[in-house]
Amino acid sequence: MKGGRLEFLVPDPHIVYNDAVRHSPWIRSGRLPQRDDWSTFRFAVKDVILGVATHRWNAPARRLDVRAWFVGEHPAFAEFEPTRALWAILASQAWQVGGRLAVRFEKGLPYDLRLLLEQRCGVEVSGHEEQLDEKTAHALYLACSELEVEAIERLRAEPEVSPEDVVFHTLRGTWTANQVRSMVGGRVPLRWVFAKHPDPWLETMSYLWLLRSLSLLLVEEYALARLVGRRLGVSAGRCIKRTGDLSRSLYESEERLDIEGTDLVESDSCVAVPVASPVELIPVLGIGPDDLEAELRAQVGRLPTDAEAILAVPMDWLHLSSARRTQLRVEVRAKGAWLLVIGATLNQLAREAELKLSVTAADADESDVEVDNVRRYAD
Amino acid sequence: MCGATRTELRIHSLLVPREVWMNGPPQGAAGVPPASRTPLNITALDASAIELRTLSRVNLRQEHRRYRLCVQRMQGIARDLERAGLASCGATFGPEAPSAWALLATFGTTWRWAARKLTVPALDRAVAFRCRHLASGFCAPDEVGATIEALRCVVTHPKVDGLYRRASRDAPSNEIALAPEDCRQAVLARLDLLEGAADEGQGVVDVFL
Repeated sequence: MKGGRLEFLVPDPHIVYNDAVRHSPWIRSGRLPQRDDWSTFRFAVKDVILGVATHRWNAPARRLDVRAWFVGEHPAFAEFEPTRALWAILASQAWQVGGRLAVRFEKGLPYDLRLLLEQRCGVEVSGHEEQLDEKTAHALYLACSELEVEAIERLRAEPEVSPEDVVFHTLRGTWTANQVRSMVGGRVPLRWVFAKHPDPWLETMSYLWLLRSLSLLLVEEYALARLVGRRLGVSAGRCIKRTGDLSRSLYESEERLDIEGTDLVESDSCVAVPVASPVELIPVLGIGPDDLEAELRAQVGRLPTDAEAILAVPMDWLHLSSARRTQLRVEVRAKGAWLLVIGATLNQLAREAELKLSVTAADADESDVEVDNVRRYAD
Repeated sequence: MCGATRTELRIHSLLVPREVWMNGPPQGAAGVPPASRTPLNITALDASAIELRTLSRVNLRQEHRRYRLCVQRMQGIARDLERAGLASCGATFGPEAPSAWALLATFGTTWRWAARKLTVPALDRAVAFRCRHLASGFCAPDEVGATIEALRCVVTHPKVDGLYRRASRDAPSNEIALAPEDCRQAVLARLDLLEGAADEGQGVVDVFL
């Protein structure tokens, strides 16, 4: 440590940075990258480069080859965080293309990756090895996710759901880890989200119920984002953590949660929760504005007694008349609950849920896919 | 009150009189928002038109989005009609028997089962086609009779136990345990509901609670 700051540490000095950067064939030849070319990418946060890797998809062997691996620790991030990120990126790439976690390091397993493996999974592997065996690779991939062991175990118990696939979709950003926690908590059948969703024609009611449940999760996520209050250009907002049983949406904040709707769009939101008080986020959905009003009244009648309740409503709320909104707000406050309006309408929520489902639940519209292309480029 | 209870599946089957279904709420009926004065018949016809268009297999994703909006619109109208006293609750399917999960699992499976088991005579083909609509969430007054016929054909079929067994295995999660008997009860409860609706000349719209 120099002058109170941590030194910039390069865990694997034998990996040559220049080699990585120069191994992109299209730099000089002027041609576009091809499917099996080596490609170098850097992983950076703002102006800090945390990792550089050169990789290519090895189709005959169905694995990802990594020629160069460069990771730099930075004091702004937790120990091994850049290593975790780079491994997650490469392993996800291998999973997406080949459906397996096969990553081969040409120069042997990087030292920092071996340390990460030891720290997270308690497994020691020689640096002379070039590839992690399947079991260890899976364990490391799951350990690098944001999901807790309990959630992963419950994922394992679900038929037709692969925990690696769920982790892949959380790392990819289709669903957040917090939403997966809620799904695991019993709110949404995981098989419908990550394997095959109900047929919209033959199982319309099941499909609608699934969309409704996913919309509730989205409302909760939007409400959480509004409470976190992260501004553009600012790295972090309030630190809000999920607590308690996964079947409930209980959170705690290290800072006071204060939201007073004062902007031009809406002035109905009202939240003032003291530090470290348990908060339950209760998403409220209706089929239309009138239904939303009825649902909100129903929720007000059954509020939790062991936590502050924040009722999160979609933007369709604004279609109610001003007098009705004021009346409802008074009713909500009279029961000691808080109201939070999120920035998405019911239809936007349903469309977002459908879009996410189409990514995770193998939902390919046959008219979307050019069959000839699929045949020509089989992998 | 916990989250799991808040989002548990509960289906409310609302019965709408034929007059209201075809022409909307009567003039001067209080308590129905202007957006819900559209007759249910119009949205049901829209849904049928969308379904016909899908036979061309073009733009399916957009078509099923439109179909979903149609059915949601019908649910919204039906709930507003119920609040205004123009529709009544015929049955509620919840966690206890007749279970909502059993109802969805059985009707989701029935069409595939019927398409395989009932294919020879023309009457059976019509029944199999009607089974396609069992899980659509609505049944117009004119279709109630045909749907009852279809359901009777299914429940009296000698191999119907296979349907119940298969449906009980089709629960979407291992936390939802279904028995073949649950599925049988759900189908019979639905049949009862439809027979009541046919006697009164009503249509049915399923909504979530």
